[in-house]
Amino acid sequence: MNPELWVVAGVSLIAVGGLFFYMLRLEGRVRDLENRE
Amino acid sequence: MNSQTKKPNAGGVALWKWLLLPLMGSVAVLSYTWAGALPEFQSPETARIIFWHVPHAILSMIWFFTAGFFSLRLLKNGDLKDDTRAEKAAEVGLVLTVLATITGAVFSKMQWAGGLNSPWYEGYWQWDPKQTAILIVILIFFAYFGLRSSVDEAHRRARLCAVYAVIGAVLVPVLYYTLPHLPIFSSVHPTKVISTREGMSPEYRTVFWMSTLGFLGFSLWSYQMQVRFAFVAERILARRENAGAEVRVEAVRRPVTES
Amino acid sequence: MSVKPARENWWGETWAVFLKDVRSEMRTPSAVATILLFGLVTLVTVSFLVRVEGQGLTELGLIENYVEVLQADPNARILGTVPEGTPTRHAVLAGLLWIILFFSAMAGLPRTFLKEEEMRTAPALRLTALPSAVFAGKLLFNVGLMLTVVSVIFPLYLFMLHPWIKNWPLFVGYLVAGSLGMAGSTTIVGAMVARAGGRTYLMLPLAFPILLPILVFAINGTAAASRGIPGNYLIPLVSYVVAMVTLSALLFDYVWSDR
Repeated sequence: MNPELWVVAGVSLIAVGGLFFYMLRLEGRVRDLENRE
Repeated sequence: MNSQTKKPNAGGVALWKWLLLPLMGSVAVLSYTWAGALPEFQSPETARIIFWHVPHAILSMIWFFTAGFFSLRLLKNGDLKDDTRAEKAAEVGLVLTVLATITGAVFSKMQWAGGLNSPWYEGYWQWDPKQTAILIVILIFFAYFGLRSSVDEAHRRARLCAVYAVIGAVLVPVLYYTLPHLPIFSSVHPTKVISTREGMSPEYRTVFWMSTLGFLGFSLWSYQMQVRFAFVAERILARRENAGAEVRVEAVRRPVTES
Repeated sequence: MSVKPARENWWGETWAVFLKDVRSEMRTPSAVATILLFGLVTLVTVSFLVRVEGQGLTELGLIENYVEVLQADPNARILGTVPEGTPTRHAVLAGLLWIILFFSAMAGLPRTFLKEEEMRTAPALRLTALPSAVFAGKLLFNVGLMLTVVSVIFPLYLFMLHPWIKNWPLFVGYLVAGSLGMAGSTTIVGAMVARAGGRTYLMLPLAFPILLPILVFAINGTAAASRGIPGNYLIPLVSYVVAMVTLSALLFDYVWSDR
């Protein structure tokens, strides 16, 4: 397979992971806010 | 983790949210490895953008329908919580629409305009009927948020915006599906790729639906976070306002009691 | 003049709302004045875009085939931006006609409801007439307004821009259907603008995405009709307008009534 594609796949993977952990952090903060009420 | 506190929602993150990571991770890898290039496309390697472009377009419509549903419910029962839900659903839908437009513009350059051989600014926008339609949809929901920001009274804002959102939600499928397929317009967009069995190879279909499911999960998650945050913020603001009112009442009362 | 009691039947009420608006308009012609002035100014402005310089008007007035003329004389273009009788001119003039009508409609159509709010007559109207009758009456008034404007602007457009129309009945059909469509599908938007605290700047962003399909059909249709070539845009145009008017009629009560 074309090595360039692995680079693209890696970038996509990082983007997906970044989105996931960003959402995880967001969820944590919202829950903190709800609990602190 | 102290899950036995007074709040029931102090627990962990729901299982389906954890599943999004392996699901979308495998989409990211499989779309470039297992699902091969499509030789019938002008630019075979970049055909994979349909794993990103088409789910965004489909899901944006679903989120606009959700906004329309909550708007209708608001018009029926006048519950301002439904206004917030409709607003957040429209927000998620708008983000997805913008993403679909951007990925579509890249797709258009690569597949319809000779890709990187054309000048750098050319090919992204071709006034294809579907591009026109998605532009109208973006304008509708820009106007929706413009309307939101220019009415002050909450109940009136909720009702006016709900009416506009319902009109928008009705127009979205008309714009996406009916108008571009009228015989008087010629669209370069392929038709019936998703709906027919012959449209996509098994690999493509699998990765495509995995991606749609994954984006549905992510959009649902972000919608949920937005709504929960908005409700918490509303409650905190309301409490602060009440506290302020109490302080003001105290300040008025004090000289009377002291004298 | 004696005050008549509110009429029992729906048509009577609708007609009463319409007549009330016509009378009020004759007393202080704010909507007609706004819309006509806007139309005239836009018409004169766009005339300079397609004006043929100096003697070129008479010289190029007879030219049927732009391409052949250009092949014979490459400098022909400098005599005028869009010579008469060419497909380009038909397309450009069709677009300009609808730009004129669109902007004058945007300026004039919300006046019907804004007037009620400004004169503080809206609460009285809310008490005396059925919401659907108010909608139908205002819709009739807006349609009448658009047809008045078209009957003034269109002859001036003919005299000033020389569109060389080949299929007159079809052209007039598009003109009437398009104006009805603009009035019909923006009546509810006018009510929303008036209810949003009279913020007239909202009219353009709110109405434009809803009107864009109408404009696309009408521009393509009038261009085809003035060139005398087939192209059926009338049926989709009328269906879209009927759908929008129905939707607005269903939702109007939520915009209009205080609850």
